[in-house]
Amino acid sequence: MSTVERPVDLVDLAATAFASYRNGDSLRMPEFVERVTPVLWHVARGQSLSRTAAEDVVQQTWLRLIENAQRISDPRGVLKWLMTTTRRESWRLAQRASRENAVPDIPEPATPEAQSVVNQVLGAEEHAVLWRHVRGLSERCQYLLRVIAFADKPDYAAIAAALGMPLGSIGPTRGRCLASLRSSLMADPAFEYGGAR
Amino acid sequence: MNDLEDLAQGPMDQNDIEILGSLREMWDAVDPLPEGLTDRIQFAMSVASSSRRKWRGLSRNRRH
Repeated sequence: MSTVERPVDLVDLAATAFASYRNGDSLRMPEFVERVTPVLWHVARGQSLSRTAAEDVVQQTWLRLIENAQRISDPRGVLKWLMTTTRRESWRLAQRASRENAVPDIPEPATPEAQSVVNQVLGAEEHAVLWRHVRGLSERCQYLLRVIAFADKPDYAAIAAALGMPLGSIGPTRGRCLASLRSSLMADPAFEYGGAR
Repeated sequence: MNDLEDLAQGPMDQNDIEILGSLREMWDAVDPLPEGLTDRIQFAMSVASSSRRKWRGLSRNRRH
């Protein structure tokens, strides 16, 4: 079984930690950084930045939060501010970067050897199945679901909005991206885990 | 409405949460955070934060 931690309500966490920080209490900042950085990482990497460039963008975004701390009026908007800042800077850099620096594709399992590489990279056969179905979605849906997966249900709508997706993209209804993935998985007998059918 | 539209407009359930959890595991395996990234960020933030506080303190002292 995975040891991945369960996500928390990031909008609340960000608002509480940031409001405390502005009042001189930094105690919740480490948890804030630990929980939100994976979301920002995937916002940046989902725009085809190299790992090095994504790391720079994410780190600079956090430093800009410190620089702009007194200018952000609503602490509940902090998560959106961080995501928007990351997305815009990633987009700007991605325009300049060559496609050679893009996120490497996981090899298609054309041969038994290639299938074994996929399984090694993904750690489990079911992840390779999931990956094939994710690849069948539009780029926009792949990006949305990649980032949303690192948050929890109460944050889905806020995150979709911060990614520039229209209201109703996901949460409280499934929205088209998740519906497409679910429908595609349900039609595949190779996808069996979690009872998600 | 077709089946996909019906599915899209339905409320999220436990199966959706499981699919998203599987996506999270997959991305964690394929593209993990660089090791030590959050530690480096926290260190840089605390340096930046204490510099700004010192700078604000100096500015206040000059005004008084």
